[in-house]
Amino acid sequence: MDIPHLTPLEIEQYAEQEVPATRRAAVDAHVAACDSCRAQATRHTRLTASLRALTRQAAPADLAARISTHVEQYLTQEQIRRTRVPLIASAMVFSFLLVLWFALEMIVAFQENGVLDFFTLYTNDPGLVSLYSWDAILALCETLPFSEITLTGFALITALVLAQQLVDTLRPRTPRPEGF
Amino acid sequence: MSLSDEFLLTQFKQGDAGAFRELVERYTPPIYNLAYRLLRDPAEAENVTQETFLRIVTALDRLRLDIPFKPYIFRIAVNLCRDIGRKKKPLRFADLGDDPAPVETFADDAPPLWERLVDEELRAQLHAALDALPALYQTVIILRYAEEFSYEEIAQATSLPLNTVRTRLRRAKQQIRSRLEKRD
Ligand SMILES: [Zn+2]
Repeated sequence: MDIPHLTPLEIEQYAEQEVPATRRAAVDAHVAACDSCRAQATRHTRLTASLRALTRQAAPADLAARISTHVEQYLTQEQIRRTRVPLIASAMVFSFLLVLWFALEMIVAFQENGVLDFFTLYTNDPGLVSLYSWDAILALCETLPFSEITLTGFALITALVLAQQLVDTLRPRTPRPEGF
Repeated sequence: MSLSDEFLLTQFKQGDAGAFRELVERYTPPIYNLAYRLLRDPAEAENVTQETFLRIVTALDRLRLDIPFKPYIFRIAVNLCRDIGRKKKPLRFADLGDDPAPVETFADDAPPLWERLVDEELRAQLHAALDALPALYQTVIILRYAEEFSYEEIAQATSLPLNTVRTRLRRAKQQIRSRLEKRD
């Protein structure tokens, strides 16, 4: 044969059926006519055919089912999470309003029973306190607005816990870190 | 006649859980196979397979339905394998960089000895040769021959330019051939 043989690249393209359209006719004709190039192409084709015939490593029989279950569980949780958001958000707003309300009540109570006056007195002249008798201080403590203080504290804790819940619920579930 | 991946995904997005189950059934075997070959660890292969599907579900809102699903799902799996592989088997998963093309050894006419192997023996040797390849070569071989990907699909699944895919596939096969010939 006078014409040059196919290049290794062309042989590969022929075996992979990836010969550019412009060269296809020429390459096909050459392979048909040339024993040497045909032998190489056949060899290449046999290799790729054997690679295609390699069996897959079989996955555990129940893997797909387990994955489906896992995905469905995840989706259910996601669903629950989404329906929960407005509920937690409104509970949180309500709790913060309660905090404001009870705090105002508490301040008003402090003013009414003279505790604030005592604190002003104390900060201006701490020495004055030593003149108070224990009975007077105890009497002052008894007039503290305990229920308002407790309610304000309780509402504040509730509001903070709900706020934390809301942040947790809103945070998108990130895929697990590498290594699982 | 089976439903297309993209159709199933659309169904799933509209709330049909069965459609996703179908996709899981369809893609668990090939993805497990890829992960198993690359990581050679059944437990890690299971994790990668499960994590691939979970990533699709978590990205569902952003998932585009106008791009082919098959390269997309393999791209997630390939990336997961690479992330794990780089930690656990850094040598096999090293970037190849611009490695020089190996010398073309098969241009001569003499048929190599592996020609005479019967199919079964050839397949066993091919498995061994495949396992010895760097992960990057192994990935393109598996996508091309086990999963029948086109060059374009391999490019999408591996985030490589098309020409790099061609080169890598050619070099991967050259390495396999030279390994087969060394064994003779
Ligand atoms: Zn020729």
